[in-house]
Amino acid sequence: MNKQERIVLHTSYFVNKCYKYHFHLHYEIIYVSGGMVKIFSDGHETTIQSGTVCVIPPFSPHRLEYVDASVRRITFGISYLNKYLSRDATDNFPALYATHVTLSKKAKIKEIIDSLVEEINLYKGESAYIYIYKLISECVSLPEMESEPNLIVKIMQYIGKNSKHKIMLDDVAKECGVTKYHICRLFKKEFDITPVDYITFARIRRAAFMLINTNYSITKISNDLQFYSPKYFTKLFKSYFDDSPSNFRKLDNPLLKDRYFLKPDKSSQ
Amino acid sequence: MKNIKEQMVFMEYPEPFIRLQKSEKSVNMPYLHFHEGHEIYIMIEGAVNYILPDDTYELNSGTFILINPFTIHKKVTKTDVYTTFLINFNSNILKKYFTDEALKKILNPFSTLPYGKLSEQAIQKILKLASRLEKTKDKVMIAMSIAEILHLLDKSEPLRSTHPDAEETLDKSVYEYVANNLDKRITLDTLASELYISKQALTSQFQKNYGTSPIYFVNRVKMNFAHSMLLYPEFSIERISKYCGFNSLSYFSKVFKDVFGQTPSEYRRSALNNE
Repeated sequence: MNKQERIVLHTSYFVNKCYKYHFHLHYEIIYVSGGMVKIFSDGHETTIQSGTVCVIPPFSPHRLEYVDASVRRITFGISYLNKYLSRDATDNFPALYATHVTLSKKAKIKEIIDSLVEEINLYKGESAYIYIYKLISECVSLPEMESEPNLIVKIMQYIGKNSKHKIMLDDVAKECGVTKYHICRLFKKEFDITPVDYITFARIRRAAFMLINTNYSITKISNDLQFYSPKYFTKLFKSYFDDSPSNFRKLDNPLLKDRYFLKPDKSSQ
Repeated sequence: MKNIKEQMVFMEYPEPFIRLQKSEKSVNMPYLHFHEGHEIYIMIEGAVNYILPDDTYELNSGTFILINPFTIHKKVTKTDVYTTFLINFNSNILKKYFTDEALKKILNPFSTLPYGKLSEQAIQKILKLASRLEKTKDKVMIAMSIAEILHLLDKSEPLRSTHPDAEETLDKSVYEYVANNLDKRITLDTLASELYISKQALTSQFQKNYGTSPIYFVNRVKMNFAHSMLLYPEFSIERISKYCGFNSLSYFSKVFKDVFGQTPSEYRRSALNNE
């Protein structure tokens, strides 16, 4: 069984732990049973209190901060669901392909989580998809931010929206009414990367999403997303995912990592 | 025994039939009947006996029975008022939303488990699902809930069937043998040896009680199945004939016409045109 077909339960307690901005190729369900977890995603920042569940779909970048938190984390790949649910079921369930984090605070969540945990612990998760389906259908998008989004969120939202085209830093600066030097300083401070790195990250992430969710050829994806050439796209893609786009598509690749950060981690190569 | 045709009812469920219901003794299903779909019958309160071809199953509160498609069954109520949770569904609704691998596991209890007792906690879960299911029109949610209920049943304690006051009459034995061996060719010899009775005794009993031969009775039971199956255009007449244990299509047509006055294809045409 490949990594993407497995469903895994982790029960953990973190006094204080912070994960840098990242995304992964699997679904992650986090149920907070004590303490709290701060999540930052899509420009939304929310504190998840005890009794709340949040679903992080594949490719959705996020940052997590655990504060004295007891959590149950359940991870599984797209292939796990495809093993049990037909195309008709998944097509009728758009929530499954949400590209953003969703959550639920409803009282019945605890019961669903308990059933899910029992399935994974006692029955290897073979019927866990029933409860995952129920859980995801109860979840809603993160609440809108009350105040005006701050500058970095605005920039990230702009890049996210336009990541199917080439993005020039000058255009970002013009759109947000600041200088590009200011943006550079801001990204350096917040993520320790350059804005250009972030733009590349957003575009590569979109390409990866398309590789998994469509059957378009690599040339078509490269052209649609306006990369310089398919060859350049493949090279860039390799630098992030350590593997070619066509191998990545197969998903049962031992090279695939649990987490992908904003910038490829060169030190590990 | 009255006219067999009156005693058998066939039901079809293109849409799942899901009811949490309180019934009076008067509103029961005393007839032998069968469905094209699967049946989940969960006893919440009260008691009934379920008579299947192989045995009699005693259902008390918290017990359930799973009935496969085309299995003949009959319900005998034991208490005046009883509450049940009943689901009749065609497996097509599950086929639409689950992969073959999942489907096999979901329907597994129908063959391995059929009869069992639920824990108090499981009953509470099922009742909650029942009230939600009755309201929803979302087909995926219905399929998912049926899968969840079957999964809860699969985890329950299996029971063995009992034989409370099962009256063994000759026609019932013959009927059950035929229903379980529909696709076989049944002769007077096989019938006599299966039922541990001499051919002469069998023939004279049937002649005395019903004025027919045992083989006429056997064909009559088979024709009732064929009659119901003809309403489904996806089954070819040839397949139905094989399913009922006939090697020759023309002989099957002849027997059918003797019973119903129409050939199978005439009957199918008129029945389907009337819809």
